[in-house]
Amino acid sequence: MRRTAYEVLAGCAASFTLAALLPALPLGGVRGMVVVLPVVAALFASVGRAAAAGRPSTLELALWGGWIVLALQHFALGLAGSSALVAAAGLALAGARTLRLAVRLYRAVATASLWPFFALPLALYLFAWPWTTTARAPDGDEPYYLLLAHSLAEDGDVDLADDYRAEAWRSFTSVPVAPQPGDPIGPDGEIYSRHSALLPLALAPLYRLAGPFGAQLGMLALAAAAAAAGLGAARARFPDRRRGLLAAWMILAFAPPLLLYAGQFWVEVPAALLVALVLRSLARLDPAGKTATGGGASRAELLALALPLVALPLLKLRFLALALPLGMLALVRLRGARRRRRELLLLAAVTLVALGCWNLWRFGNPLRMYGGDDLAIFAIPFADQLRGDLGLFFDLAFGLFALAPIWLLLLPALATRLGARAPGAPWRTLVSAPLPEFAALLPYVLLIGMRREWYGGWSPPFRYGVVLLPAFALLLPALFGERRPPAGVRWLCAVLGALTAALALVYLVHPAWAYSLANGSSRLVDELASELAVDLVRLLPSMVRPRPATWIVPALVTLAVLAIARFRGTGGMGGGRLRPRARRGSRLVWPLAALCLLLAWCSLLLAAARLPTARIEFEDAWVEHRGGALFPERWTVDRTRFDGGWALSRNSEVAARPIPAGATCRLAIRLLSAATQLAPLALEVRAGDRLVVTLPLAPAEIAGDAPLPWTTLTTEPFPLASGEALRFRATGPPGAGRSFVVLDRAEVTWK
Amino acid sequence: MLLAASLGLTVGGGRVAAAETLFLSFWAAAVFTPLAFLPTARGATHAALAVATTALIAALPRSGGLRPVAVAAVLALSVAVLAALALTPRPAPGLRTAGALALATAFVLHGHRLFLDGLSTATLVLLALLPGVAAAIATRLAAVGRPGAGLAAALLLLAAPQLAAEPWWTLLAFATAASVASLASGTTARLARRALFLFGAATMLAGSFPWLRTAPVATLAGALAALDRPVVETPLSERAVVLTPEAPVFEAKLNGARVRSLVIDSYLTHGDDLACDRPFATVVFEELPENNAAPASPGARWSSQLVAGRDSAEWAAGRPDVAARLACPAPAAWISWIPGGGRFLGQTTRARIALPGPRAGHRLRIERSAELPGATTLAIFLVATER
Repeated sequence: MRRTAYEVLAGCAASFTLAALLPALPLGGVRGMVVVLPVVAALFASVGRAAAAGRPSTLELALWGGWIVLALQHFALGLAGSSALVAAAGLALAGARTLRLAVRLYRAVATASLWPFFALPLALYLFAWPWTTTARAPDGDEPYYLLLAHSLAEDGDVDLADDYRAEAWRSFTSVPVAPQPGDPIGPDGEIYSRHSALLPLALAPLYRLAGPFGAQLGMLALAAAAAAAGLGAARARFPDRRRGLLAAWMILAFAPPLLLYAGQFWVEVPAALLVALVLRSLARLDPAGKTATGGGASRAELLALALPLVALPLLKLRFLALALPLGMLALVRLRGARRRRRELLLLAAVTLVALGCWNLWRFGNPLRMYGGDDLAIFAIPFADQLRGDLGLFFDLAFGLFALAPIWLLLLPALATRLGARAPGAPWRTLVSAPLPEFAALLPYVLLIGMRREWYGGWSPPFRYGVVLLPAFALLLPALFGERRPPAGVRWLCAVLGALTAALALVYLVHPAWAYSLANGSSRLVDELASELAVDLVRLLPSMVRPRPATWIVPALVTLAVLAIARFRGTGGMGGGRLRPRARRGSRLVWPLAALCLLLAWCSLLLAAARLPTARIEFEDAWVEHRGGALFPERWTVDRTRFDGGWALSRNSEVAARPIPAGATCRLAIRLLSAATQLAPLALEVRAGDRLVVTLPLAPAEIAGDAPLPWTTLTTEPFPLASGEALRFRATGPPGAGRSFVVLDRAEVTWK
Repeated sequence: MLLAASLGLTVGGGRVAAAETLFLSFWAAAVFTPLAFLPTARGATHAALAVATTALIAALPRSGGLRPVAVAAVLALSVAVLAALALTPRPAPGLRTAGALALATAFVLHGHRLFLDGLSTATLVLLALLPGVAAAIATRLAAVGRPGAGLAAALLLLAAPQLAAEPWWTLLAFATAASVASLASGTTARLARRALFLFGAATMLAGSFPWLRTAPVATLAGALAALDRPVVETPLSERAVVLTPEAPVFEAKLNGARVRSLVIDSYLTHGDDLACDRPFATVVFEELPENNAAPASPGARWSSQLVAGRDSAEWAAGRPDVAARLACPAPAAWISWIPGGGRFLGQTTRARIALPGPRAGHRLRIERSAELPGATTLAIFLVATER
């Protein structure tokens, strides 16, 4: 460790020197990656020693050398977008190094030290951080946590009024930060944050030392610690499954979401760390566990369990839905130690009462902003609850599996766990770990699924679920129990791993693409589809805008993944060696995976180009917009309350090229007219350049809280040739400048 | 091929970009097809590189040459990395390995000729004869125990069109590395082989797209030599501005850092009848006042004129009919790119303007000359200040 410390110190010195030498600002980004590279290299070297990995090859060193030259000089090339490409190349190099070292840690995974499992994610997060923070300033709730950390560090209080006045936010963002709706106001004009102060309090010392940079380093360390603690929890549960432990840690640490959230300010990251610590303690208390201490839990072990449990609701009240069931599970497992149970109960009661009193004093409500409606799980229609919970995993914009497909391995892992027989009575299977832990997560999952903003609001995908990741990682070792996993599982790992790596790279290079409007598409798909002339989105599942794919795709994906994972392939082990056919099969895993990915992409494009269009959603990226604006406007609070569409003012137009299923088509256009009698509008529908019909729009007024007067207008059947565009244009007299019509969608019937 | 066909179907629906996308798809397929015969084709690295190339083509937006450059770089790297993986365990390659590598290298370096010239004799020589001879020589020399010499000879043949444009010292360095690799033994030979390999990778990387190909090694050396004068600021960021008679001025604030030169990447439209050295724009660089207290107050001014044939040129100068009527030959292209239609390369020209000594600027102004023909516009893609 002493050598590591010296190396990291030397790396820091080199980084400071580089920062002073390079004209980093305002070019930031890639040059920042060069600046942190010495520290990253020191961390890599330390992990390399722990993993007994050799030195980097000549080719790798040459590639790094070429990258450094490019990073320093690419501005001179004059290619728009080259910074992103250089950043991507650097991230790919660092990612490849990280994965090589991670695989080499196979032997170290069962040893006591968690240092390499903390240092390796930290190195990757640190290397990506200058680029991701330059490419995207703190967003969503992040600036408010930073401002609170600033206030605690600089003023020693939680009153933000003076910080808003002094525009303290300028130290970490150029976007103005104003108080949020619902922020409590004190009697003397104090402004408090609606957010809990525990995370800012933890970051305040670092903020005091190094400003926002220090706080960001703190978040990086918390994310890396969450990954290492996740491994610790899994190791406490399955100490003899090295392959599974390593896979679980690698997925947790190097796949999104944790990879994307590292360096950002979301309470879900420290909460994930706390959940991992709780799970580790629970594993040690489980009488069935191999490292269990069971009824003989010491006070230190009780504290290791109780402190994270207590900290969870202090971090965010929402996490009470996690802390209470996990606490109850702990009480069950402490049944042999009555005194410890009483101590835990007392601590929990004191914390809850204190938290309730604080909230009552500050917010006038012991549950802060939550009301009875927010907790009425049974009042939510089943379909809404199902959509929310399925959306957490399958939604193309916000779901875990769309963000990082490698997590699809959870499905066969869960099936394997449920299929495994515990010794003794059959019911013991259901109560054997980690299934009770999963049962304890259910209230939280239900609570999230019932919220209208189950997708997390304005944040990267799977925000509310980040806290569950360490628990998910507990399932994965079950899938890798055998010395050589089945061929299907290996093939799934290859396909999903390659896809996840590509998506992670895209999201790291374009952090803004992780933020999607809740409009049924995703920013990433929109970016891809904007160059295409076909409707790709309709083939992908969205729980925000339900369509057939919403239900068909998750069912198909689940069945396919489960079926593939069960495929054992030909051949197998014989006398400790692979049989020839199995050896041939294992060689084909990677080319087959690449081929399947390419074929899948081609098939998706071909399906989009061939399947007849039944509905046109006018705000989608594949529709050409000439004038007009998104409806409701981008920053409308809780915008899923409204049906989305595209607002056309006079002389603006949208055009789409539907895929025909017949020679003639008939349109049913759902629209919202905001035209007055004095400024009337009409909607022209054209097939190519031919005018099909002019639909007069009835005058309508949009008033206050009244429901919006959406109407549906239909056209007569008209001929439309293949490849011909449908054009919709708002027309009116010159005085119709303030009138507009919102087009929601057009149902297309073909004959 | 499958990817190219399906992409063509979907992007061809009235949007631009089809020509470039199809060219890149077929180019990538042409490079990866021979590579599929390498033993590395069963490995994760090979699969990852193939997927990465496809992802780049599918995901990167079309933007003034960036996508072809990125794809070209990944293709060159793919060949270099896979060659390293294939030759490390077995330094003496068989005919299949040598042929696959030679063909892939030839497609990386000269594949764009198919797009520009079609199936001409020169194209066939570059893409069929040259790699065939190179593979045969490499295999033969490897068979007699001289794999280093084989590698050097094959590389020299395949990169001959590039090396011909290089200064004599580049060839000398290459010849030295090659002779050491083939004649020496032990550590020296191993190091020389590595140097030779890196030299080849660099040549391929730099020569994989026409915008750098005239003198790839010199370009790389130039980039290294310019490390001491990094770009300080890019006031235009990643936008582009077009100076027209109606909007003839681009103006930007500078951050006050001391700079020694300005770089401007641009092209002219309807500029084929501009005579050589005819001024088409004026660059004005305003310095900070001495006390540096009031950046808005006027400081010293320095100005220079941009002239046709040196600082910028007609974007379509490579199109045969335009080339025939150019009043002034276009300078060497800084960036070449594939336009939406036609089989030629569009071009952007770089102008580097040295200031009379280091100066701290607070404002930069570029103004289109009022005397230009009305249809002539100046499109600017990069404005950079250098330390």
